[in-house]
Amino acid sequence: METETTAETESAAARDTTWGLSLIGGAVRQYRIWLILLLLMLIATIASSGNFIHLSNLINDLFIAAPLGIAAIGETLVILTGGIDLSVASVWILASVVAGTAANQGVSPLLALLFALLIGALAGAINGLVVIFLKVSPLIVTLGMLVMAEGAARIYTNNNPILSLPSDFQALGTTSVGPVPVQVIVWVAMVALMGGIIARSVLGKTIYAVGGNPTASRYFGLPVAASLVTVYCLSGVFAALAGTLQSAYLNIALPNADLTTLFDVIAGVVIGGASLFGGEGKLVNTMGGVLVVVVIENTLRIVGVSQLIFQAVVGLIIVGAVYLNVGLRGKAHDRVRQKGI
Amino acid sequence: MATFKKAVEGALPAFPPAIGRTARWLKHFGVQNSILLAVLALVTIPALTNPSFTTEANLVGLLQASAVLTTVTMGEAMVMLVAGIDLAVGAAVALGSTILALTIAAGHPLLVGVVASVVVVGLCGFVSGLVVAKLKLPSFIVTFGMLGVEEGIALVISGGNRISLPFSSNLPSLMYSGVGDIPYAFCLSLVLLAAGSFFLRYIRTGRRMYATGSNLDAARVSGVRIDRVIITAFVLSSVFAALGGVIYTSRIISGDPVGDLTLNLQAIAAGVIGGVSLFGGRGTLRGAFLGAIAYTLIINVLNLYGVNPNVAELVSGVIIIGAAYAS
Repeated sequence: METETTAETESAAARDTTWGLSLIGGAVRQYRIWLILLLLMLIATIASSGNFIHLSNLINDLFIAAPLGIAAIGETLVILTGGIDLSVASVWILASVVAGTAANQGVSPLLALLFALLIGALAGAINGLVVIFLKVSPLIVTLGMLVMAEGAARIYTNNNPILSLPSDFQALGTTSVGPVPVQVIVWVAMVALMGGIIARSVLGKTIYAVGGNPTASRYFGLPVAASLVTVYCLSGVFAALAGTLQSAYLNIALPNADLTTLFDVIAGVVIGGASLFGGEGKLVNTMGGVLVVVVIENTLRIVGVSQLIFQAVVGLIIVGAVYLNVGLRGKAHDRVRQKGI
Repeated sequence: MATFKKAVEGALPAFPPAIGRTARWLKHFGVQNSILLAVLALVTIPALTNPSFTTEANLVGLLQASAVLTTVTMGEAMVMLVAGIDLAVGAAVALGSTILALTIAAGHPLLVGVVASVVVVGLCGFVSGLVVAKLKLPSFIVTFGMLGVEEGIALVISGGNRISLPFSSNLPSLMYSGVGDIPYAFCLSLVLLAAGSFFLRYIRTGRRMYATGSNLDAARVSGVRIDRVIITAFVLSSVFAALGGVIYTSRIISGDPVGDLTLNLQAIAAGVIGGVSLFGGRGTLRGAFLGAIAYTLIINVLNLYGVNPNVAELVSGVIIIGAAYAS
């Protein structure tokens, strides 16, 4: 056991002073997003004169949040490694049109879903392989994939939207167990599953290590290449799952990528506390982040903020949230590690 | 990473001093701009073998089509030079276009409209730069937020509708008439290229953009006012985007609050093709300009051959990745 010098203990104490040195303080600091969520829900209830807190509204929000949250799982993993996946929005819709077309041709819902997941895995694998072996920045690669997957979706559907889906396929997205949508159960289960895997496996350790220091990770002998490809692949799979579930719920599959979806997913990850430079973040907190985004958007809609300035307001809030998160963690250490602004 | 360039360099013979400086300069030029030349070569063959390409109408159309992208790409290149990214350019063009159209429709002279649009959009760029420099947030997030803000402003002031320019306006002549066959809009883009290149080479703040982009900490320690440099980069990007908006307005003869949100992807792709590195510190405006021309050429050739526009979209994705790989 190392012994800390008085100076180290004092500076550690100084850094922790904001939230207190106690165990509870530490937990509060790590999971602060959930407090923020509760606060927001309170504000939402007041601002909407109680309309927010109606069960039907909350359930509606859950249906919106679940696909975003599922895609955010994959996005969190990618961001943890210090990368980014911009292709989520178009893998989302590509998967939904593939699954939708298959379902309309009589394929059983689960099989159609499987096709969608395979497409997502393929897209993600391509992303990962190009990042690792061609050494192109993830921003560029996934940007390119964003464009390509949308193009592929448009070619596949000949630019026509799929306006109706068989009812058994729709059931994938619409069923609920009591008041709880099955989508949400899937979401929570995935977070638990991935969280468990991350905590216990070499993959998990590598993900956090790569985000913190890729070169050191490689010297340590961690399977950096395999982990990165896996992570991007998973991001594609989760995006595909999310897209399919959402289109099942909405009974529509469009071949146009919705950048708002991308925005919401990344915002959820970042608001949940993950550092865009990698190495810090928790999957559970991403859940909280996504719920925060959905609550904010819902509140703005209920309150009647004009559709026209909607995106402007959301954008501002997201920048504010990123700022708060960076600020609460400590700015200096983020600046040192990053390459580029 | 620079494998393509190294491959090209390896393939060409090493010129000994006996052969002369011109030969070596040519080889250096070829290696540095190898991506660009590769793209141009790729495009020239199908272009020249297709009779519809070499028609006056098509060539003029090409110049018209590239005017917006070249301007916007040069602006984006400024931000890329300081190792940032400006995702808001599509919305900046839309906002500039909307403000210009509204001002002209209200009866004010063209110049007033241009100034108004440049000032407002430039202000947005200033805010972006300020947040990136002072609050040290990643430019990707900040400009993503600014994208939403600019879109929102454009939608609110226009009520969501396009604003037609009055018949009496001479703005359309920017695009549709010019020096001989070269549209004035393209000339404007060339002027901006000259001015921007001058700035980057001879003006202190411009030169320091390269330093800031290559090594932020070294630049700061050397006394470069990186905050000022970063803010300038974002302001210039927005100013160029606003001017791109002016060109865009003259092209569609109306103000469009929605604009083309894929413009930022195209600008980045064009910049990367032209040798501007996303990691900062490398690239020239000339490269950005030519990259935009090359990109426009590719789309033009694909159109000529009747390729499905969706396939063209796929191709542009591949190009983005390919160009980034080769650099």
